[in-house]
Amino acid sequence: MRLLLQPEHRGQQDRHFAATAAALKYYGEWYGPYPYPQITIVDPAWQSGAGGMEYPTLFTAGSRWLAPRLSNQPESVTVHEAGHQFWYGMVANNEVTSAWMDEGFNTFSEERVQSVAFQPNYHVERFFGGFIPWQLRDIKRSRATDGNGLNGYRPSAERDVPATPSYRYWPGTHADITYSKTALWLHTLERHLGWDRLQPVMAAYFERFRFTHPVPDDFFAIVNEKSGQDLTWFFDQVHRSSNEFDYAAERLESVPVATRGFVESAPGAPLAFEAQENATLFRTTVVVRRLGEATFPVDVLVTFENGDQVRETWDGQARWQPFLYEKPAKAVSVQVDPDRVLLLDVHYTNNSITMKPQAERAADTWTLQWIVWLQDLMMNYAFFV
Amino acid sequence: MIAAFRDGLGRVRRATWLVVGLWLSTLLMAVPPALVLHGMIADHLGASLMADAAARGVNFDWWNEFLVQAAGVGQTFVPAIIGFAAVLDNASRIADQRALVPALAGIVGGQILLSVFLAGGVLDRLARDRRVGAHAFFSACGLWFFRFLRLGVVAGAIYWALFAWLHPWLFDTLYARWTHDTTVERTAFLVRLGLYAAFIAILCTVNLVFDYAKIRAVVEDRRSMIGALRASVRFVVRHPAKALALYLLNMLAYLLVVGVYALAAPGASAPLAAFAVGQVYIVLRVAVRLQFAASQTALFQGKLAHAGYVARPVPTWPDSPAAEAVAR
Repeated sequence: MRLLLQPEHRGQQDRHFAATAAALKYYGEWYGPYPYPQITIVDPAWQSGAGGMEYPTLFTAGSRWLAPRLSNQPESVTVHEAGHQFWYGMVANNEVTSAWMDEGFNTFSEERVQSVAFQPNYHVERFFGGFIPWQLRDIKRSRATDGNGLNGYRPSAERDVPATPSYRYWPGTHADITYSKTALWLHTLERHLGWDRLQPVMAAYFERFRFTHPVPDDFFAIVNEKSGQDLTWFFDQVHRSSNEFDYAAERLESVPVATRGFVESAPGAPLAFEAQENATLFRTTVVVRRLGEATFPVDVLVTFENGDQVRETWDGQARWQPFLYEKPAKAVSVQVDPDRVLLLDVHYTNNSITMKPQAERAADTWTLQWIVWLQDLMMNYAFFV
Repeated sequence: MIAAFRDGLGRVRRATWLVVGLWLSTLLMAVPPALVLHGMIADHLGASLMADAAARGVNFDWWNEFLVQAAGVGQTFVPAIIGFAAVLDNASRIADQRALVPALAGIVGGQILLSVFLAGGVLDRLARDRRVGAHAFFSACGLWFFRFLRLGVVAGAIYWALFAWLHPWLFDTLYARWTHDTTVERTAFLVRLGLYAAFIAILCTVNLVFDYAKIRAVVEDRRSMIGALRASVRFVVRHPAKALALYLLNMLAYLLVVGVYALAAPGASAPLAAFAVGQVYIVLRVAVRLQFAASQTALFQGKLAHAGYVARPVPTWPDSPAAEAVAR
């Protein structure tokens, strides 16, 4: 490994080497070996516009003069660009028409490496023209949402069909579709199949198509072949459609079971109507909904006061689905997709209902912190009076 | 100058209720928009299990989901509100001239107006350095309000010019020109730091002149605010070293408070402690702001009059016509 580092980044050499080594190690283990005897890392000059670019056996990374440890810069871009030696360098798809095949695969892989090799990883805010970083130790970046770019994807979800040639994507959101949506659906696939099943698929794809020019159908075919499942329905949703995924829990209620009917109180006595509530048996009604157009099978987890849990598997096709239970305890919560397999779900907050909501407490907590920020802001402006 | 600084400290210490009152005013001004934000957060979380994690600390997934749909005040609920990041965010907002969301512009405008209203009472109290009572305090507030409003129009025009013309020229034109071919980030930062220093120096000079204009207006019972402004300029020109040194000393006190808060500010996992420590920080900020006024007043009184001298008798709350009728 050869590193050409800007003098002002002296002290960050170990981070560049570690990130590149981690990329080559894990990509090598997961997909296939890096075949060249060397790699060159170029740390580009400030404002050069040359950062974050890949070339065979050489790439440009990118860092800042002040780059707090345990944050994702320069590791993120370094792992990403080193990773392009695999996705695009060796498996050389057409970037003009199918940029998602290398950028998306690489974002997925890069974040996987980050989650294995560089944890914890904290959120950094930058102030004063972006020069001064401040690390927020309260916010740990997650691979699933922050790393894969759910925040960018969320408002852009329906902007473009990924199967559209990349050069025709809406410019303002092309990265959200190319990088983020692909990383999100690959990670969804990882959670759906399990990494032990997806990894051999990716390795087989890498092995079969390295030093060639695969097209999207080549990847889809190999997934179907190697996973033992026909996942065309999934690729129809995530690749050939711009539909949004949004599942929600709509209703959760538990009421005592009432016995109603005509009862003969004594032999020969006239029948009398009786309605009696059973205090030890509760009827729980759960309704879950599909708010988005896209479909995906999801689990529904209902938890009861006595600790019992019922996990349903819903194919996610219908617009809504009821579940009814009669149990000796009231329900306390329902969660759609409790394991968060479907990372493309754009509104996860609506996926659950609890009988003991904490929204007011959370609002209290955060409003108190916001008040201090606002007071400080007002003091700043009032200083000039 | 040191004597004025120490005198100022004593005056602020003896005006505890002023500190408490001004702190409460910032808190009360923050409550209405905070209630709006509270409603937005509670509505968005609803009965979701996501609220559990959000109540315990940061639930970043939910937070980002909230921000995508947030409008108005909700757009200001960003990670930079946590702990000391809030101070950096707000200072950076002024230094980089980042706009306020319209929903907050009204609140900040209200706070500025309230500060203009209270300025007369505050300066009168600090200048006399003795208890004057609530009636006299608010009477002075009312007495000076429209005069300071007139002064505020002049100050507002100058600040507007600084932010609308000078700031873009410094940071968009000059900074861009000077760093166009810079390839070292540290160099670019040093250039920016220099421009920040220049801009803040100009802001502080203007602030200094208007501070003494208000002080002279109150101490000398001036009605012409243009006259007070000219008198202030004369004072600063005649005593530049002392006026500037005192301002810098007060600025150091402010930076000390900020520095202590940087070390002490708890994170999001201890919300009540964060709020409590945050309020102590705001109280200290209020005290430092009063220290600026008190020490500058002491300096002026020491140079042109004597400590505690105020030309106008203690303002009294005017009796109502009914009281006069009863007296007859």
